[in-house]
Amino acid sequence: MTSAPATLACRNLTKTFGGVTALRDVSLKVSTGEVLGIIGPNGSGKSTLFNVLSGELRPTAGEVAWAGTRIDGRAAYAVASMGIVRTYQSASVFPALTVRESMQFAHWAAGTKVGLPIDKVAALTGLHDQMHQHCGALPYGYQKLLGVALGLLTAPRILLLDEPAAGLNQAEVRRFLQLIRDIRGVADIGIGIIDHDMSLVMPACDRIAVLNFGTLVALGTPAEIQRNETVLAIYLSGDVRTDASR
Amino acid sequence: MEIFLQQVVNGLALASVYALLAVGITLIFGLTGVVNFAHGEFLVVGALIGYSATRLGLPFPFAVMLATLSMGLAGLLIERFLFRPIAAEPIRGFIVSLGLIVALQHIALKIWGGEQQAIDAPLPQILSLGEVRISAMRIVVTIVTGVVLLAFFIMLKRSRWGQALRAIAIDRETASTMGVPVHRYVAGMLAIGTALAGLGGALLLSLFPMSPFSGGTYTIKGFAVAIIGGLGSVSGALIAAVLIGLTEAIASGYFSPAWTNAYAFGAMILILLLRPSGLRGTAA
Amino acid sequence: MSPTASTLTSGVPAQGTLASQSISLAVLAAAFAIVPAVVPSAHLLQLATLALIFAIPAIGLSLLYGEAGQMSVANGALYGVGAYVGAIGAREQLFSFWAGVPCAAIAGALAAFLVGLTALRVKGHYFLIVTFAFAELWRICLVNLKGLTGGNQGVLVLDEVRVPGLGDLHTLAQFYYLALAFVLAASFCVVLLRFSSFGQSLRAVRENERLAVSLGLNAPMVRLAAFAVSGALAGVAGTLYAYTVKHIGPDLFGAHAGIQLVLILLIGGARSPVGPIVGSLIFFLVPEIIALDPISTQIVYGIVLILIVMLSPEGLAPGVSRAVMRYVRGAQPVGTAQPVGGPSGSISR
Repeated sequence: MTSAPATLACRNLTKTFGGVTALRDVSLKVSTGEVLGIIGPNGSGKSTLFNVLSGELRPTAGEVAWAGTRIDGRAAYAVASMGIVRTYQSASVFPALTVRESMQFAHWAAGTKVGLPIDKVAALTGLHDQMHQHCGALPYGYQKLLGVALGLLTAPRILLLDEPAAGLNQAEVRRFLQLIRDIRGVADIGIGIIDHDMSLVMPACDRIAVLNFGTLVALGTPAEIQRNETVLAIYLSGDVRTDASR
Repeated sequence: MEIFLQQVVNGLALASVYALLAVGITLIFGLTGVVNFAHGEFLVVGALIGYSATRLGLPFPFAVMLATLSMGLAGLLIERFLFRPIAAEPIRGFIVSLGLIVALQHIALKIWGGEQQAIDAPLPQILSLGEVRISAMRIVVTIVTGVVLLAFFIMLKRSRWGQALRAIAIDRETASTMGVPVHRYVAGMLAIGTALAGLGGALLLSLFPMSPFSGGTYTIKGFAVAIIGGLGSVSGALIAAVLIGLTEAIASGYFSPAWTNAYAFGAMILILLLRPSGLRGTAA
Repeated sequence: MSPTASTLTSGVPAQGTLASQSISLAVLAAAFAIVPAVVPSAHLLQLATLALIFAIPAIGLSLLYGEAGQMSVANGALYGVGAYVGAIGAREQLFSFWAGVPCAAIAGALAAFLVGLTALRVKGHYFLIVTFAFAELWRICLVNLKGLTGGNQGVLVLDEVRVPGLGDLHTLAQFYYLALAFVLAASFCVVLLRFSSFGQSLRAVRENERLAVSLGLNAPMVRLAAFAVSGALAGVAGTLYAYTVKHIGPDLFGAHAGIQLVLILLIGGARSPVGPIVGSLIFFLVPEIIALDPISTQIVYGIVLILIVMLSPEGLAPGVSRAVMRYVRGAQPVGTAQPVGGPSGSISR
């Protein structure tokens, strides 16, 4: 069922807020079927990048394109309907709905797009025995998994995960790594992952982009990035977890 | 031409009052996120307190001060007992303000009745500059307001107090962890906002008659000016106040005065459609 | 801080299902049907009729506010749109009551749609301000466009409501049942919407708009649609009011009417079909019992609104019934366990 890969790309993307330049001339792309990691110190513009790609923010300069068509300036819901879905750094759920109701909503929001069935996504994300729980009562780790589940249910082409490992313990991170592998196995999706946790990013990604102060300073395979002098210099005083348990 | 110049002067006096309203609104909103619809009622009650004070023999400047201080005190009390306990949910603060509108307006009706109240002009002189006749009172209103707002603006930009306020507006939590007593600043700001409204009301009383029914119009004009200027921006509020005040005065000189109140709303709608962040707001 | 998410409308215990809400409505219908037979005075019957009519815009607002979490003070003015459409239609002999009702619904929906459009690109608190501005602007238009609206004098409605089989309605009881019929119809419409996928999308927007948008939901349009529906219901009620009371004026339909509707929802609760009706009844009948002058009554209302939103934000009636339930459950023997997973029943289907 793999069709020709479609690409979400940004070209010369710049975003300023008042006097602060969050992104400076960034050009990146992620295609269906691959996993792109985005790393960098705090404040390097990673979340802003996702916010612009998803349509929540408009670029100050540059463009965003999906499958060859320009999409910057489109409303966030329209970008999501096109198949570009993002999750949030701090778990975002519908507190008063149950897990099943939230999943049903996600399916409904997908409209005519045919996504994975609810039971399959529930099994994939390990939520199958939480279906009757109210989302507000779920443990934090499960709420983050639910965020990914809801995204999956809308039949995305590109899934942008914003710090999925934030707030998770080691075991949960390993679980997440497995989830990403499982997702690649069942669907032809492109995944973008922002994270600080190298034990997730290094094994999961085909390529890794490194941002620093809003600029793209390196792009390559995990092996290349781990040897890259510029990147190492940035991380000498960083606060990232570098336990490379694979 | 004379009509035009005349109306420009009138407009500046109006603009002064709008500025007093809008600055209070924009700052309160910027700091607390609460849309306080009762703001216009403070203007009206301030005006009526000024009215009663002059009726009791108090000289006008003292009546104005009484109006300002009493409304400032009212703001302090309202912040402490009504807004602060529910500060986590601005929508509840908004509904509280709806209740305040109803309660304040009808308390004012009880005390002062529904008729429009006016005072004799404290400064009845009219200056003549060629063909243009300018009432001295309007000049005084403009100057007093200008001085107050200028002082306020300077304090906001230059003093530590102003710095703290701006820090709170940007990120309340961080400001709090840095030792800024956020509650006190928010309370102070609300009090200053209502005090400015009271001041505006008392000054306005010297120019026009006031009744308890005027509150809603002033509230929404204050919000319109604040939005046109950009919610949260004091300089924006000042610029927008001048624009709206002049527009209203000039238009009422040439067109039917019955529609005077509609221009501010029309301008607000235009801004929301074309440039929602306002003249000086930061675009999303 | 989102102006929609708050303890006012989320976290409220389950309101049941389509079936249970329909049953509540049926019970209410039965109870209200006997009122004209038992009411002690014509004056009270008239008040009850007015309360029923005013409950309809409240029911519309309960969809916007109770389900989507979006507050508005424009619904009193939208009520006025319907009233003037109906009254002017009668005066100019454009249409009768039964044709006027759908016209008023369309007018109300259209007005709401246009007002909501201005706030489409901005956040919720701007919407609040725009609704207030609209309410004021509407009143200014009503007063100034004297040729059309009669200015401060208002409009007299000289036409009758003709019901096939009954002829022209002219007794108080007949108008009471007419109002009751409209209330039940409006309420049932909202119940259906509440449990439809549209209702589900409203709740998603209320619970977490950002998440809903990231899943592809056009949140502003959903809210706009809810506002338009509330406008349609308010419009219908306005025409009903015009034909019942036979005279309308601009002072009835400004921001104050909008605030009264908010108070009604806060008294009765915005999440159930019965809440707005009960709230409206209390709003109209309590002053009769307490017998204060009109101005003091308003002062009391202002204070009551403040007290309710501070102490029992999900509504007075829901708060009271929850306290009663807790007391009743507390009196039950140990071992009566709650099902795991939260309150019984579900909010959405």
